[in-house]
Amino acid sequence: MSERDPLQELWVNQPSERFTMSIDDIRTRASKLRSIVRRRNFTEYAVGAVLIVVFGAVAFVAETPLAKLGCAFIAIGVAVVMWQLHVRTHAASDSDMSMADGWAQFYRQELVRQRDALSGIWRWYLGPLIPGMTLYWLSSGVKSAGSDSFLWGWATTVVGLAATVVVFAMVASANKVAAKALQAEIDELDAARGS
Amino acid sequence: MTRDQDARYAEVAAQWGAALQRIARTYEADPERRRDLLQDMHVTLWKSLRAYDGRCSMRTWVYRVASNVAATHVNRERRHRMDLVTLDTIEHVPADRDANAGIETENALARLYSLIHRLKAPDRQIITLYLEGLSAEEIAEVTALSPGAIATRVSRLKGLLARLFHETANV
Repeated sequence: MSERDPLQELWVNQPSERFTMSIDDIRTRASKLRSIVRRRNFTEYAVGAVLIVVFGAVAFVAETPLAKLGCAFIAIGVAVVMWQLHVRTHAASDSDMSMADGWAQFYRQELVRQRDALSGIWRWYLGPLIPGMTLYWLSSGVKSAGSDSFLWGWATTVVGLAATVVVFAMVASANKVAAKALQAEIDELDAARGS
Repeated sequence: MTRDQDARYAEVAAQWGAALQRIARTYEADPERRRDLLQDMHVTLWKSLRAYDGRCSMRTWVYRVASNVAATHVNRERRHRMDLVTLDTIEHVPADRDANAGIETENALARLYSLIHRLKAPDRQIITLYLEGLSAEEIAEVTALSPGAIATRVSRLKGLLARLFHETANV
């Protein structure tokens, strides 16, 4: 395509904005980007650590064995989620190495990674929290068995479990919709690659 | 190696800096975010040059890196916009009112950008690289899309552009 058509001429000769980056600017920006990623990761891990400490502490002081077990399982669940976030963030940063891959190959990998994260939300995000949450809410009802607060205790269990189910279902549903949209884009890309 | 990398980057930035700007503009209309995208392109390009082994031309390498940075820049909301269309359906999409403003050249460029911003990712990639003057083989090398798919789309694209700008000229 050595001879350009008028539109290509127009395109490549369009005025460009003033923009220069010296090597020092590049290094500064690269360092700033690394700091942003580090800070974001640190914030996520810090929030996870606080939750683990809080639920771990509550597990020690909770009144009933079931509540203790529930809090311990929630702390373990949060640790599993943190570990999964770490693994997935690491996988995402590895994609920096493939920045010079063909665009469709690179873009498809990104789409697949995001689709898998969204569609597998039960497995890696919600699932690990379910045992702890279930035990914790059950502990209210079990604790109240045979006492005057029997109804109140089981009402707390039912409302707590229902709220958990509703919130988790909403999160899962929103992620399923997003995963479906990503899959549609992957299918379109595959069609473009293969046709 | 760092000195080589820096020197190579300086050459690449001087030669393809304007192309990077044009690609950034096809992905980001907001000037401030576009500047961020452009900076990210330059940083990634500089980092990538450490790994450049000559297996493809430098031109292909630069366009690949720029396209991939732009692809990651496009956030979920943007990618999932329901009003993005393919080349097959773009003809039925009315032009932006903004595209009809300004003098002739600006008008033509505005129409081009308006068209590109409405396209889904594969078509946007192909039209941009076509306008950059890459051949179908070079576009296939940059995009990793099949040469057949590119040839079909470029042919469709040429017809679309011809009709679109013929209509504009007659307005």
